[in-house]
Amino acid sequence: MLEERPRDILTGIEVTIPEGEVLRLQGYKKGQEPREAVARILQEQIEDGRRLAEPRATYVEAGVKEVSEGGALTLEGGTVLTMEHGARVWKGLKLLAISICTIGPALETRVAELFAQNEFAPALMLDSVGSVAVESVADQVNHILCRQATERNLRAGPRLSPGYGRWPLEDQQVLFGLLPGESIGVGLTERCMMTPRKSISFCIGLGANMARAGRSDSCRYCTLEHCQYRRTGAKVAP
Amino acid sequence: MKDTLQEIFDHLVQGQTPTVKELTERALEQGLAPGDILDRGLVAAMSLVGERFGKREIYLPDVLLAARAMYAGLDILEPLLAASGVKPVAKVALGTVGGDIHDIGKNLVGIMMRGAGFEVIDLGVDVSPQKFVEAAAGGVSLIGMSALVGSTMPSMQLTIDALGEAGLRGKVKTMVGGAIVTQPFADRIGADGFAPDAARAVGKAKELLDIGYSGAARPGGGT
Repeated sequence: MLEERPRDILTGIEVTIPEGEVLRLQGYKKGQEPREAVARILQEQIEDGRRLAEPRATYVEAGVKEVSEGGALTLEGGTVLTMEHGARVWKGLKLLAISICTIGPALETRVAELFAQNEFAPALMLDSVGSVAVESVADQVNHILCRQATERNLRAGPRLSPGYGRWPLEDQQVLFGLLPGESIGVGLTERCMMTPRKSISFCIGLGANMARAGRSDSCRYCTLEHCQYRRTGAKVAP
Repeated sequence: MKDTLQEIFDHLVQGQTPTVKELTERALEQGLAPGDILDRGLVAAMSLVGERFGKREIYLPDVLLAARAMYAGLDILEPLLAASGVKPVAKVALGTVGGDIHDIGKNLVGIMMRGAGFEVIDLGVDVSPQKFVEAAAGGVSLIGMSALVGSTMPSMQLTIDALGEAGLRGKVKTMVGGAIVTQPFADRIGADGFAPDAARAVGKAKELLDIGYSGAARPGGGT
């Protein structure tokens, strides 16, 4: 059987929105302070973001049958995920944890309203707040998965998603086949984009011999050297 | 005492929307031509804001606060400009390429280009090559394409190819951008231009279309 543990749906997740992370997405470097008018917008939009976010997440674990030298990961049940760096990334993998997280559609609807009202700075700020918020939901699910792994003497590898680096976005369909996003209101477009946009899907490899993940690991497996979101210090995948 | 155009310039750079609106009305009451208020007040100030952003002296929210102030003035001037036959510097069409539904970057480019005097047609997100071709055939001078997700970047190549097949490559310029798009990628797919951010998209569009700075001079004689 594919599933070793039942699917879980998490609601009531606390969203954390650090100011520094929102400002980082707006181009501020660490320690750089926004002027008063911008700081006020930041506070207002963080407050609005907390009110508008409806955090939900679902996750499941799947047993792994094999990882080929070419990087194809075959799950028990026959489902295959393909990543060019798979053989290195998934080394030591025994279980694959899959999660879909979202903060729902209300925040991005508000962003569109603000743009339509020419309130550009609040619109962009709220969009960044949404990005940070959904990332915090994914962080918390990640933490739960890691804790559960530790309880079973397993290590958790890096958090990776289809569409990043050399993992084809088309594998989103495979993930959604294993873990229906509809259960938390997340759908896929024909071209594999998630709606609402402030949603994240990810996988974590679990195994007794998995290499432990670091904060910039997702960037380490990505080939986009000049990406604006690249974390400082993260090397580029060869 | 500062003249009104200089005041518009200074307050717009600071992103002070209500004041810019009030000063634009005052400038009209004083008999200044709408075209002068636009060029020497609003556009000149936004041009400085873009320059400062390019030099990393200010941040994106500062640019957007200035853009909001610019639009407040522009809303007052636009009907008067249209009535007096003042034309936009050029007509451009912007869209997020096929398969991609992220619109923030494209919106920011549209805001900055409108602020620089361009007429902007927003084609939206997930725009097919055919839709870009239709816009090009409809008389725009430049097609701007945005992508956030790596897997949708090939749609930029498909669009440029489609423009070529439609015989429009010599008639319309193409510009690409987005968080993951780079100059080498733009060169590889044959795009005419690449801009790393919304503020610099304006300068690149002007360069591609051979449009000089539209204002006669900044108020007070600055450049």
